[in-house]
Amino acid sequence: MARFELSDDTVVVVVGSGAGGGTVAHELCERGINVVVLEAGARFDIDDFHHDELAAFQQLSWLDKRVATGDWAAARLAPHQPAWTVKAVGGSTVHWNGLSFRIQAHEFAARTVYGDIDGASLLDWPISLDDLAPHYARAEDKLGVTGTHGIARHPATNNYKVLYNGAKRVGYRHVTNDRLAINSAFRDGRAPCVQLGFCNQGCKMAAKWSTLHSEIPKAEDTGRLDLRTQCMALKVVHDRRGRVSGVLYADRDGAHHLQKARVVCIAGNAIETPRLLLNSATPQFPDGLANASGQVGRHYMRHVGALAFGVFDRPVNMHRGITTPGTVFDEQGHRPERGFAGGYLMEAASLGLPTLAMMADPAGWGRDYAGFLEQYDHLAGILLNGEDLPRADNRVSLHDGAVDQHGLPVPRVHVVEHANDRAMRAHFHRQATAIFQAVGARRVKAVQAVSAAHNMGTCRMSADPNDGVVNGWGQAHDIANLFVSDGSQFTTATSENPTLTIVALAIRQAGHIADRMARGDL
Amino acid sequence: MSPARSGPSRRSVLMGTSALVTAALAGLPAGVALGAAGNLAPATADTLLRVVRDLFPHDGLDDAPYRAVVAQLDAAAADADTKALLVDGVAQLDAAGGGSWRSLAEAERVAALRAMAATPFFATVRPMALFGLYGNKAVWPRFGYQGSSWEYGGYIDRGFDDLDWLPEPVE
Repeated sequence: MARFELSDDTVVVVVGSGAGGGTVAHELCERGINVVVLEAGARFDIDDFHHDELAAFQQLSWLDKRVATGDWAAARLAPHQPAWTVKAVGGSTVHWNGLSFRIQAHEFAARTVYGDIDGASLLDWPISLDDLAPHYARAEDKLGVTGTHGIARHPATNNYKVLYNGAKRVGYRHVTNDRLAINSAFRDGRAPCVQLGFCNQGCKMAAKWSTLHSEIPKAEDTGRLDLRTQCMALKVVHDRRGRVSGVLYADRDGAHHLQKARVVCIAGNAIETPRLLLNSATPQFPDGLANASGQVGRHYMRHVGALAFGVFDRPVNMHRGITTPGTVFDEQGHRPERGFAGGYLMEAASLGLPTLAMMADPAGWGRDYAGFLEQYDHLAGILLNGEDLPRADNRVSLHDGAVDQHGLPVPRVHVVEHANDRAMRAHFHRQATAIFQAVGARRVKAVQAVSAAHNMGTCRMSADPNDGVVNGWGQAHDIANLFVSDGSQFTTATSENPTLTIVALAIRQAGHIADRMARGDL
Repeated sequence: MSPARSGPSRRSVLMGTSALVTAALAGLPAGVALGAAGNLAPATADTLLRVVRDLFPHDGLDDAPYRAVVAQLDAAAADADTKALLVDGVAQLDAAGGGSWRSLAEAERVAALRAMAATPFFATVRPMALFGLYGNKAVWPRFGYQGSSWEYGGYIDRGFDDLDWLPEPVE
């Protein structure tokens, strides 16, 4: 692996090694550019992963202090755990489910299509599906997405059979178990899935795509990647001209170092990315870097989340196999007659017993709840992934008082749900109930998600520099050699799981950076 | 590898409010014998055993997995604040039960517990009971949860698609 000098100001520094950071780093290395990746977490491999939900949670989760406020469930039930993200090489690609969908054309123009919605800060993306389509194709090849590039789909799991049959019986038409970034056969040096059932705890087969097992080792093979683990970025620093010049970070022993840089790409997930920019305030940029618009941290989105579980007379055993094995697409699209703007996906989803007990009712106890849990092997599950509306005051900001182990203010994540979110969740619970009842459920338990898994929008793309933080390339409006490379860029949440789009954007961004570096204008 | 993680201290977790983190830690220690640490008086431990059973009652389970939870509570009571919280909570329950909460009928015990639902006592005991019980591998077979499968080659030959009461999907 390469080692570059701290004083080497020709390198690109990438903060974070997940879907955005790992991909942009690999793509830059392939273009002949030297890259330093600063990753806050440690590097684990397949032998290290725990296929035990509680041990894996402890091993992989980002547990540094955060504070959730507002009226969302996290503020009440997990006030120090607003989001479940990963602190490890590979970032949240270590625990993601592999669901890989393209954003639809109309979702890139949410403000135009949905109109002006009171209490929301909708905006059209500055790019279109046409702009991203070729990069989606490359991303699908890179991830090995089933149903693309001639890649076979997986066999139907028990949990998917329930979703599929129930959905068909209530009249849904577009139900599939395609579009998973999980190998169904040997491909790209990775093994096929053997239905381990622990996609969220780190895949012990590396059958599921992650930057840990694809982009990072491939980048290392180029000899141009200097990956520094357990190194937490503290501040992005700038020169007198207002261009970024390096990143100050703390190593595993707490010692501080300043790595010089020609370009900085931030991909710390949509909570840590704006936090880093805000913590980088200087007299020249008193509100934080790239924040002339005041938009850094605002418009935080996390998808409308919910779960539903059906209890059946005959066994399901949802825990056997792929965690999210199939999807219903029919509730996507903008059909305001349903009582809400935007759309949602319904995804078959399983939880192990400990996580089910925690999540099926986050405050649950007593004989009725225990009786529900006792039906474990007769349960099927469906997860809601719905488009939540951006709101300017739903935001990541610096906590006034609480600091982390490095002495820096911790992030405060504030969400007051829009009525649209509640209407969508209620609609999902009705539809999921109908699906389960159509295949004989004798009970359906509707559940609201607590902590967020997807985090988006806090450094959003905009055509007008007053409306957002970065342009259509993820380049800061204010600072030419500063890029945002993760889901923070998302202008709207859309109804799709974000990882495939983060990867496609990172591929596109890396090409742009490499081209401009070659031309000498970065 | 074993990275040096600077996670929250056990006490801050127990006394804190993060259900997820509390839960994750609470579930880890297992197999400790009841009273091994002896931080709690036997009568207090016996009442906590009844509390844990009433929180998550499964009549088909014997006391062993519930005793394991009480052992975790007892171990946590090495911390003076936690011990005070547990002892005070039990005293409050007993006061509500006219001296002995344990001797009440189930419906009355549950009503007294429900009245405690907003207390730090409840916020400490409920997640520890939940993760201590449902995170205990010894009880998983009783729920039909099989857990880790990589040791056995996954579920691909162990029933991942054996549901036979619905038609096979056709695409």
